[in-house]
Amino acid sequence: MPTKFFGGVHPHTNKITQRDYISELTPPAKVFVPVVQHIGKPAIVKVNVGDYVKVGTLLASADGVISANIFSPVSGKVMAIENRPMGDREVTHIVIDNDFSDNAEFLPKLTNPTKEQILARTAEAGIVGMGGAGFPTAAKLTPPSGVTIDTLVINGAECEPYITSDHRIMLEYPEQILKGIRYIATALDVHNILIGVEENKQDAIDTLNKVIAANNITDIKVVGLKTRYPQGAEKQLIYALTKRVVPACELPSKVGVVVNNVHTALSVYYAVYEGQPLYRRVVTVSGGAVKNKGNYWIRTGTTYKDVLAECKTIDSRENVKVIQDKIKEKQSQLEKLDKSQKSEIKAVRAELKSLEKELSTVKSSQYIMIVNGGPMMGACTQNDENVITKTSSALLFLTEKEVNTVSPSQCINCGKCARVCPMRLMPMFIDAAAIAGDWAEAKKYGAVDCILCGSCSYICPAKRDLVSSMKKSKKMIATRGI
Amino acid sequence: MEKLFVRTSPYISSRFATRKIMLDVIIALIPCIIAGVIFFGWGTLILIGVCCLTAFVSEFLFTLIKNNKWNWEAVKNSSATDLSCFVTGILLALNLPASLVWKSGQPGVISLANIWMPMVGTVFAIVFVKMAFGGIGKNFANPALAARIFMVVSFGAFMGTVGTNNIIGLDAVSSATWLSTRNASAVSSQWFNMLIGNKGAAAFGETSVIAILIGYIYLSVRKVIDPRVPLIIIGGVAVFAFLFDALPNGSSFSEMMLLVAGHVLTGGLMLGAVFMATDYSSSPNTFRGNVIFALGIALLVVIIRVFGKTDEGVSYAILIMNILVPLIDKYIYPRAFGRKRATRGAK
Ligand code: SF4
Ligand code: SF4
Repeated sequence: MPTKFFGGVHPHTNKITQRDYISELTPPAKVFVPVVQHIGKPAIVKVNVGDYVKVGTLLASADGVISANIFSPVSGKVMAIENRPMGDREVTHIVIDNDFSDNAEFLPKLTNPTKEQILARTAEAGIVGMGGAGFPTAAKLTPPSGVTIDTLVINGAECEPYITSDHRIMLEYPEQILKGIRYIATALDVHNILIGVEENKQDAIDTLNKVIAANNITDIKVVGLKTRYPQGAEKQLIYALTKRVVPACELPSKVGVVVNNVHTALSVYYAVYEGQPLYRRVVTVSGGAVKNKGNYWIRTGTTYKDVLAECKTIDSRENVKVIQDKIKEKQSQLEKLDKSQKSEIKAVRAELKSLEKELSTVKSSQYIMIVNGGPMMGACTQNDENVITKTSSALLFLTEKEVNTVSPSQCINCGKCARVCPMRLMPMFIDAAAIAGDWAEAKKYGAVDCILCGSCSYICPAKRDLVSSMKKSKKMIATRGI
Repeated sequence: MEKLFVRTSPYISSRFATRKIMLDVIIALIPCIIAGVIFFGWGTLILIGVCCLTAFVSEFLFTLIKNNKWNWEAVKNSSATDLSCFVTGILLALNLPASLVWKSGQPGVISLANIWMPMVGTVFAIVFVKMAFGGIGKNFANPALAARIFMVVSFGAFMGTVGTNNIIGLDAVSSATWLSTRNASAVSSQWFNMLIGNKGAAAFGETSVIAILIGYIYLSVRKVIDPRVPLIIIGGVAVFAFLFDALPNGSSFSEMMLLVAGHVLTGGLMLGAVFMATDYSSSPNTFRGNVIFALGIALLVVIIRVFGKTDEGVSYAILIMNILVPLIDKYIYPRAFGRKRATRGAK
């Protein structure tokens, strides 16, 4: 079976939430909707402070082809239009007070839509690639002239650890996904459709196959893929499914393929069939610190803080302080005691010991890192005021035990990084070149081709931060034009 | 609220760690150490202890002096704590003749008169071969191997082959190695002793093929080494030995096969192939590079043995190929996925 690609790693999958049914997360009292939730230009704000908006009201409209419309996730009043930090930049956010009435204003439903209607609707409903990249789907479905697309690949690999949102939607919305895929296929005019799913999601493969058989669909095939990270990376996925090699620095359309994520297909279905624009998505909320781990429909613009407030932590951060205060109290008590009061000293010591033990268990269940996306390629932040966007497939609150906090040591030249690199690069040489500032050398060993999958850093015994060298090299090569 | 932790992705990491890998190598060497004790007596343990201690102390002092910091932090951060110096220490000890700690003329009776030699060798390995080039990962040659050659050159008289002095009462085998005679009938009569290690050797760790194979399997299962590389070396030696030694010198087919078996089972080939040629920093980084490296070793081993008339074939062969590794790594690296060789780096 054509399911292999070069390299890759086997991180512990940690798909803790794969049996949890998707439920709706109670929307927060206030949402902060950023005008950038996609690759490309920020959308242009179309509402004013004080306006009343409904669920699905257009808040900001796409600025050109590589941009996307933004819709209101709740109904209520626009309170402010302000700049807030998002990642390492400042982005305009539209702040809306939720009146919890969920008045909706959707687009008209389309029955039997034509190719043009589907394309127009994907653009209108603000649909972007929901696997993480956020490339506007309408632009993807309009291949450049002279290029013929003969294969549509649907990415249901979900190779990142922890994330189960795609897995769950394949189990719970198979009909809708297949209809969405049909719309995409109609828009592209292709009749060879491959859905790639990793073999650790056999139940999803079976579910999709059942629906395909029940509806006598002949041109959609579900292909089981080897469970191996980064199976879901575009070029690796295309190679595994079709044996076609996308040339370096080219898009999949070069080899006649378009790739879309399963969640994107689901959103296309909602946009076309129900007229529902993209204002919410399924997010896996997980990580050692979360009590109610699960898969939730979350409105875009919900802050991480609000998500955690709903899902609860196993032990709150305040508890640490409470216990610390108790320890301090006991310590001062101990100091005050006279040496002769042996039995009292013994009792206080024992209490102290049990408190310290409690502190360490409470501490070990605290999160030390927030990750938007998977632990291999997601973005981590210190700011829990950041919000869920169209591309947030997961939100992880990781504990110290889960996160790699070891500082890097000297490269032992083991060659493991080169062996796992799915792009067949030489990470250790690029790392050395980046440290030496020799960008030409970094380029020679393939820095420009790096997909930043993180397999090399993951495997490295010296725990070297290879990905940051890759990022730096890519940037320097691009800006200096080497 | 305490500040949250941020770093570049990925945020999770594999079970591999430098120290754990080194620990795995040490564990894999335990069967060899046991075989050494069985066939050459308790003195071998003293050799190992001396080499390890010297290795640790010299690496430790080197890092402290180099960084010129003398506090607890510096002690904790010293690269000596990553256990790689113990690997070098044990490997060097395994590459020495047990007679270094024997009273002269009295095999098996321990005397410490010659103990300065392993110490000098270890300091050479750690300070000149490993640390002077930047420490772990940067040394161009395998420190233990380079030190062995250094000792053969410096104290040649003490580095010769010795017969076994096993502590389990097996019949001792003649002390001259098989390689000096390359006699087919010896293989057919002595194959069992060759396999378990009841034979004379210039390096007490190389004696037991079985012990080394146990280590090989362990390292392969733990994914510390690429299991294919030792196989290519050993297979390569078999083929080249057939071509250059068995074909010209063997009279019958079975004799030819015995000659090939002799080449494979003796002279530290196994130890070199499993533990020396797989040393991370002195071997190529890619599998294709490693194939060239391994075949080069195999060819050199046979050439040196047949035409050079020396027992040190394996050591020299690996050392020569070590020196060629930067060259191999410079030219043998894979073409990035989706790139054609001609256009590589063009865009
Ligand atoms: S070099 Fe780039 S593509 Fe290769 S493993 Fe590392 S991050 Fe992935
Ligand atoms: S995996 Fe790490 S230690 Fe090994 S060669 Fe690559 S960078 Fe060096």
